Amino acid sequence: MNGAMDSGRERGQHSGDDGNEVGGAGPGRERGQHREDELNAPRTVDDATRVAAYVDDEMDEAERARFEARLAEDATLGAAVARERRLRARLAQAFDPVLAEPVPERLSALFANRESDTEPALAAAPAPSVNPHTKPDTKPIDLDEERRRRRGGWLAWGGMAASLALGVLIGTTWLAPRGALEVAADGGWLAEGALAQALDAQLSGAAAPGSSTRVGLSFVSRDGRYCRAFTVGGADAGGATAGLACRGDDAWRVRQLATITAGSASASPTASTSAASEAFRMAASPWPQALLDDMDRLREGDPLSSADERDAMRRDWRR
Amino acid sequence: MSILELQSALAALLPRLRRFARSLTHHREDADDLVQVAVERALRALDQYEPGTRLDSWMFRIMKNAWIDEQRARGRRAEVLAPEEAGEHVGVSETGRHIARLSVQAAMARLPEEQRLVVSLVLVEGLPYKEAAAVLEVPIGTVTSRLARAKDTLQQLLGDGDIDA
Repeated sequence: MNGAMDSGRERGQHSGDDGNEVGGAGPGRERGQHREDELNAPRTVDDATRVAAYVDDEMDEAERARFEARLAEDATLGAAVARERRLRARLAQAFDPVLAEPVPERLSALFANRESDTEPALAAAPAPSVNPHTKPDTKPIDLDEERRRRRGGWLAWGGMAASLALGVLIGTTWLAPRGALEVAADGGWLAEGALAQALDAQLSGAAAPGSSTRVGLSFVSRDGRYCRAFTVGGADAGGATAGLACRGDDAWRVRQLATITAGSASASPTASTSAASEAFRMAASPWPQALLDDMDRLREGDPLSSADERDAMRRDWRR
Repeated sequence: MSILELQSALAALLPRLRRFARSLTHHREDADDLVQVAVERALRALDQYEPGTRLDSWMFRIMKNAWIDEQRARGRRAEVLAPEEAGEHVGVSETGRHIARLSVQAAMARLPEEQRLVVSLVLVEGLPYKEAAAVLEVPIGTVTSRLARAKDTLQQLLGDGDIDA
């Protein structure tokens, strides 16, 4: 999907439709031999653009393959790529810690204050976030307590659940001691260890040897991220845990976990059953209804095919 | 997406919105002020969000507009208070190579506003060029050229100059 844009860039947009800005560099520029070289040697400009496109993940597969072939043989190009990556790493080092800071009350309160406004909408929603009928079947680890504490409750069902409340549960779920989860800087949960590996590299429906993690299916969320539903463990461990993780910037953020209780068959289909739910029901595990509902609300389009998944893996699940 | 889901998705974006704001201004209170203003605007305009588009991009666009408004107001104040700093945001000075190792925040602060925005969107927030262009309401070529210049400046200010330097 980046193809058109990339070829456009390679045709010279780099200096073309922004020509008025190209000359606006600082005093060092006029002196810089480097810049003159660039202007006199289009090939260098193209390469600078390609290096950026490569590091910024803006190449289509063919461009990437061509570039990587050159990269293997051209140390100068390799150094340029490394330099780009160093800059990114320094920016991440400087700014990513902000993600770990608690969100100030005055910001989270912007949402909390509106709960009273939104209650009627909740009541009127055709597909309520919490399906009371499925409560007996599953035990969503999703924070009834937090919802009571916050009175309104919609937060607990959105992505915010992770950052507000899951941290409280981390000692009580058996996933954490197994190194499958880690608390993110912002208080959310990140997939770790075997779970992260499975989410990164396991095709849906495939069981990796020695891994108790299975990925059920993948889809693209409405906010443009890859999301994958998974199960960890089995009945012997006191029930498997099912979860839903969406790809964040560099990690899988776990947005929901639900215990699959022993003997809970798949929840009976509801009127809102969709293609995604159907796909889930094909899988071996009985997926908690709360998770299916969450997924149906979240997803955009059909579940990914294996080919789509492989393609996503090649791009490190970045879109 | 229902209003509820939108609000919930917005709330989940708060940590990223704060990171974005802090890359624009390293002053913590200013950054959170920006997030607050933008979230308030967004909550009043939820019906203007187009389903199927990226919510983070939508928020970043609102933040960008709020930030530019703020910069304009601040610029007027700054003219009154500190005229000598008006020309400060030159990229690389003649002694650029000798200003080794500014902090990342200080280096970012020296970028022209429009370049800093691109760096924040693409290099900090990881937006594809196309999304960054939509947020900034400029052509993709403008994004790539601003980015290229910003990176040159940052690399020099951070003491990671030209590879052949």
